Amino acid sequence: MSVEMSTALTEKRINELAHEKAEPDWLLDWRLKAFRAFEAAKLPKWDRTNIDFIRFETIEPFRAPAFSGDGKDLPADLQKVVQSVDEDGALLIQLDSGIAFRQLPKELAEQGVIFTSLEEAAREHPELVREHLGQVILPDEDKLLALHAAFAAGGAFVYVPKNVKVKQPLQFYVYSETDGLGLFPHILIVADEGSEVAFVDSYRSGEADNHIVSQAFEIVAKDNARVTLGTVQGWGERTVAFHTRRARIGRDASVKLTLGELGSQLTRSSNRMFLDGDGSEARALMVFFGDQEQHLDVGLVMTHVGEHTTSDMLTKGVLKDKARGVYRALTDIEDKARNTTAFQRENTLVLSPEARIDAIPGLEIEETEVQAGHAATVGQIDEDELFYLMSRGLTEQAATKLVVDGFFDPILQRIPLESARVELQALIDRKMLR
Amino acid sequence: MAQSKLEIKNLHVSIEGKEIVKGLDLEVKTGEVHAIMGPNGSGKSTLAYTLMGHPRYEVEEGFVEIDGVDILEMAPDERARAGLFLAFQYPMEVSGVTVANFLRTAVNAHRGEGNELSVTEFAKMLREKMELLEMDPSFANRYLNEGFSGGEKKRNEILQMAMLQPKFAIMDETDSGLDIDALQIVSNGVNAIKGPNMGVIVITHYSRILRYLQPDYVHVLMDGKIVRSGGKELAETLEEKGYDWIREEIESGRA
Repeated sequence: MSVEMSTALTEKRINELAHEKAEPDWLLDWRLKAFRAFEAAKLPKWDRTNIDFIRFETIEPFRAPAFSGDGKDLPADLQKVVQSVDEDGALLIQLDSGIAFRQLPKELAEQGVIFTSLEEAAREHPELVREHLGQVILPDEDKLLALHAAFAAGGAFVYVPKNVKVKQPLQFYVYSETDGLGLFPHILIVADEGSEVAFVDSYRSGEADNHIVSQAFEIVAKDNARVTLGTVQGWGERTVAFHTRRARIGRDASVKLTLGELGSQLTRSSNRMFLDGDGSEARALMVFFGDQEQHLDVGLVMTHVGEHTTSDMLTKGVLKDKARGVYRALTDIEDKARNTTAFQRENTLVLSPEARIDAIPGLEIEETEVQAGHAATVGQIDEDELFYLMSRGLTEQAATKLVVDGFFDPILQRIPLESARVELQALIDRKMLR
Repeated sequence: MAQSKLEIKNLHVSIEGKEIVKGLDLEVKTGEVHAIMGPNGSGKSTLAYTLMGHPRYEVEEGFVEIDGVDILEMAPDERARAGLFLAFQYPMEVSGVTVANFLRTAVNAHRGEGNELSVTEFAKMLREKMELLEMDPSFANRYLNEGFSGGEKKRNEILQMAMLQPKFAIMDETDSGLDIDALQIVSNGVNAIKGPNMGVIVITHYSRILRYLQPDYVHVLMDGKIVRSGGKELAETLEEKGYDWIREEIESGRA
């Protein structure tokens, strides 16, 4: 029996997709509930970032071309990724809405490590997924997150059992080359007590890069777990992207996040960590770089709940041409979060008189026994600095690039994940040279 | 290598509408050391910045040529690649960029695409030049001028000069702020670098550095013009008598 495919955002389409993917009923119910929230909600209104131009009726919510699975029929960029990972590397590649390549070393699987698409995890490990899905980021928080939950496709589910330490980073790539496509990759990482894991995720577009992205990225770091994350957002220049990343951190656990926001036409990146457990620790290193008419709205919130918690945020951004940046940061220290230590620093380098940054750092402290501080600066390249470098034979472009590299160097040096650092540097170089 | 010539003719320079250099003539050939001495405010640093092409300095009249090629229309980087070098009085700090990385970028910018030094060739060259200037190897890994003492900054300028091997080097008050030991090291370095293929213009207030550098010519710059030229004995006279006697001579019309 042939079913007429609908490309619009409808309940019918959600049912069809759930059926095709043989998803469990509870997941379908979860999606339908989110969809009703999507329909009922208005578009979020944010100061400084206007998204009224979005037309939901033109979005195609799902497209999953078939691939052989050996990686040889992937686009050239992704073949390179496959080749860069050796036999004991763990890699998952999402192309458009479907998973196109997956590799998990046997050794990890035998230890009980799960690293697969969210959909497969929902079929194979329903109890684990059901227990944690949508707990850190609620599926009906706003219209975009509700749309995400209704059509979440591909994505990654990571589970690391108690006391298992994963040595190599797990790598997740999302790539699209389809105009008009909605991309909704959900990431859920559950690091059980005393476990260790590093996860690197990367987002790229092919030539046809007019897609819309809404992502929820949930991290659960249970007591004594250590989670290291490296995200490189390098969407194409017509992509509109909404990334919500959130972590809950247990007792004496730590989450270290490196975040590079470089791609897209417009990005709203909303990141938050809850330091729930006593002695928990969160670190965020963020790099953003906007050029041409890019709009990058990046937010970081550290919410201190437990006692003796530590957070540190370091952000460096560069804006050139007519790019616009919005940096929002908040250190939120709740009542009874005694002996908190929290720092945030942000520096922006503005390379053009037409580029603009709004830096909005903040502190909300409801507890007195804390050490907290914040600082935000905006700078330009000094005429004399440029003259000095040019007097040594460097062109203006080369001199500017050297200053920008120097500006980013201290933060890049601190990135614990080599592959994320290399990828970030490559994207920075590309932006400087165009 | 054939001898090169830097020629400055009737140079007039102003900053924000105020004329500072008022008709300056000077000819320097490779292999020669020229000292330009003068009291504060005479236009010494303006001359240095103008030759290198700082955008704040406006050339109103005159020309500057290297081997007959006008350099005034060139951007600072083009002048550098044409063989000009300025050792800054106040070098800029560039955070996050190591001395080695900066020097490799600069050396390769001079050599041009496809002719870059290999990493080992560069390292060897850098090590040799640093030894010449009695610099600790760890210096190469420090961020450019960041946290450098006054003496380290000056030595780093001469290191750049040694690495880039310009046809004409202008040293803008390199001696200021140096103690006697540092001055000797820097001067010995310059003497070792210069050779027959480099012309050096030493801009200074004091004759101290000239005892080490032994200029072939000494020029006195006052009120934007060269008012006296002579051999190194002129520097000694200035050391003894100061600048006032020249001013008096000019004012009494005996110039």
